[in-house]
Amino acid sequence: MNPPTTNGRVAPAPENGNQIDFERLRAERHRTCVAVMDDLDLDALVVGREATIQYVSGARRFWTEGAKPFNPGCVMIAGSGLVYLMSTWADGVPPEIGHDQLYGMTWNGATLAAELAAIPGLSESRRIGVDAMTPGAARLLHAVAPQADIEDASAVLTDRRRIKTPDEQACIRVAAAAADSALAHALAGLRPGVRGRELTGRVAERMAGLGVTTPDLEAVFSSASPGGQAPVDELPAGALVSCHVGAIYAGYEGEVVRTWLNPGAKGLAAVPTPGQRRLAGRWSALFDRLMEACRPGGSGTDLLAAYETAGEPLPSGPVAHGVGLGMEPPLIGGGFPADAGATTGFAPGMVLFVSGQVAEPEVGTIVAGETILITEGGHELLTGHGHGPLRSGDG
Amino acid sequence: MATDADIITGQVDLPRMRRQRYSRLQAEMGRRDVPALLVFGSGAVQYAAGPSVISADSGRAAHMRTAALVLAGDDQPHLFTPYPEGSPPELVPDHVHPPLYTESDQGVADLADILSGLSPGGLDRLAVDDLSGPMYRLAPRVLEGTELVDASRLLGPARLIKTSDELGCIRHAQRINEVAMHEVQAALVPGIRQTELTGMFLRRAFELGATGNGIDPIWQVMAPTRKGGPYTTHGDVAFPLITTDRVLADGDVIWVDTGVHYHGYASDFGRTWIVGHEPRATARQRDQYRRWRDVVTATLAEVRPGSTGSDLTAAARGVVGGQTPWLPHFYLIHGLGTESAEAPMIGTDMGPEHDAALVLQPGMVLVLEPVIWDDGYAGYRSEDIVAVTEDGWVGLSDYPYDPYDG
Repeated sequence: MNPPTTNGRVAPAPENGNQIDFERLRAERHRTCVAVMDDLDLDALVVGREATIQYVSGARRFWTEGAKPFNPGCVMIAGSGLVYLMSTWADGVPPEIGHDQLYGMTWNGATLAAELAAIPGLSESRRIGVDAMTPGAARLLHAVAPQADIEDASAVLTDRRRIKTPDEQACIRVAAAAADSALAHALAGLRPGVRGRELTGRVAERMAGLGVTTPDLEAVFSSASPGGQAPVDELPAGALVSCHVGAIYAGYEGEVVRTWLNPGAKGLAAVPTPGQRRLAGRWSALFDRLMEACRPGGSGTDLLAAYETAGEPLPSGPVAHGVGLGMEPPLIGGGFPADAGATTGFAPGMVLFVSGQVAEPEVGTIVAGETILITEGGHELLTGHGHGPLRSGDG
Repeated sequence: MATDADIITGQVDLPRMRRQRYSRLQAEMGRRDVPALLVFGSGAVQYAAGPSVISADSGRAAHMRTAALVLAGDDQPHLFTPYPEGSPPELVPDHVHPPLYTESDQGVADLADILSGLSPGGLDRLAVDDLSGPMYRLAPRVLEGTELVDASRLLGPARLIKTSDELGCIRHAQRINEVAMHEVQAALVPGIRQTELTGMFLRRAFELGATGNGIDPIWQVMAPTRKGGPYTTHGDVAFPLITTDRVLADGDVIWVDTGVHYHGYASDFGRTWIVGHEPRATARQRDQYRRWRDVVTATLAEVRPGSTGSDLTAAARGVVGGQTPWLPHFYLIHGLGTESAEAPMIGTDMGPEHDAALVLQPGMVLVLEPVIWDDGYAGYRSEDIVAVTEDGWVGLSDYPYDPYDG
């Protein structure tokens, strides 16, 4: 049987890769979990959100799309520091989680209760932290640990995870590179009349070819020309096309957004109209201001202010969000509550996705954004795909 | 009820589908005296409101939330979405709202305000499928007097019976999946990586019109023995294992499992393949397939309205000498809809009483996934999908069993 290889590939399978020290990554995350439990004086942590389960356990898990209700999938006990994982098999489970720390998946609530009760230390717990809950799971946990208060640990988990370790940053770099590369592959297929699904397919194809089979989101290609969002199909040469691509590598996210000019029928680059050039100039001015705020001591409030200073209205979606095990707080944008993270100060090691959006009724919308790392001196772009004919300063 | 022809052609009327699903949900709410239902899970939102959404990783889905709120007696669901352009066209504007953000205290307070605004008399009960940390912490205060109950009690029974349009969506999703797979199976030669198969499959599926991908496609190389595979808590075969950049070798037996979506409905493709330029099954492998076929045939012979889950498990066991021909952590049969595995589930560890209580009705979707395992020689697993009809069943899947049935 051939051994797995990683020759020259962007994304080694996490269990085979030697470019990222996954053992160290997991050890550092485990220390963070210990700190979270200390902060909240917890006897046990019971988590059910997929990203939290990955964070606490370090397991590589089967990816399924979309939001799933809470399920007590992973338990950490303060006294022993041991992590217990709901997994019927050891594949993808790191060596520090022994076979006796696995509890099998079950459809039976009574079986699940018995499995949880068998975890040494859980049923005696007085304070249990959780990252989410359902009415049924709350009943179950109270039955398993009758003396326990069940506390919301989600905010502390978020805070403690905000600064990414060098190994986490390396994972995000891989995901960002995969996203950039997949975008390039999709854009190579852009032409008048192309169907958006074909471009989405090209993204999936390139990402998988690089070893990344899990998307951050299904790649979206839509018309950004006047008339609002519409399918990309049937767009003429020279139309604006917005492209949103994201990849997940070893759980970590990388994301890139571009607005592209639909090329001519024979693949010849379209030439921007004066209006499009003007809009690209506005985007560039806005993005410069956004990037100025991306430094230690800056915050989401500064990003929102950058829109105002640039004279650009806030888009309805996020202007920026945290990047880690998928999308994370802070969530920054006009549509989010004030305590979703806009006031969180930026610090070295934070990773953000930041996007600029400008629109003109007769011309359309230009939106583009990058995954960035906050550094001591400011920030570093982790994505960097070009802007093509809409590059700033052109003409 | 759907006619066989409707199902096979995959004709769907999306507004009718949403209307009929919503009626089923309202009926369950009435039956169980639940005045309001608030759901965040992607499959549940799809069922309740039917928006077009961008499918996403769970982290993104948890922060860019699409949610549905159903009030008993209301004509339409309320939809909270970051993608308003994907709202069903028939949804009246005052039922389409900006997204909820439930990961912060202010966001939860805003949600409570919205709820009290929409039901000024207050709610004595609210069915929910998930509570964010802040929702769980703040609910006793901001939803004082409202009992929170599990949404699955409403959603499960509502979703159990599919309308003809739902069956059409499943059939169409399955057809996309199968057409894409013909191309992938032809590429299954020594030296190809699992991840390359994923790339080929997803590209083709999206080109064919899949509206989303539900699971990271599985191409699991089966070790010949149980002990040769990963440790398992039950000592049986581990499946499904995650895809890596593993290079496939001549003669590898792989268990394939994929699920792309069409308008929110999942497909479920399961086959056993052999890697090779001109792969041939051995006599033992063909015999494994024959036994798998016997289990499916015997089970399907019992599929008709009125049969119980126990009738089906007994039929399946009856043709293999009383052994249990499915994986102990799964089932003989699961349902399929806006979730890739939903009720009815038959042969699970919920036990024989659960199976005995399940009575087949027209409109149920059954994914049969028996497993035949010969330790030392790996095994055979495939999935066939049927819908229960007035007098039996109709097939929703249609893909050959090469190279086992030659």
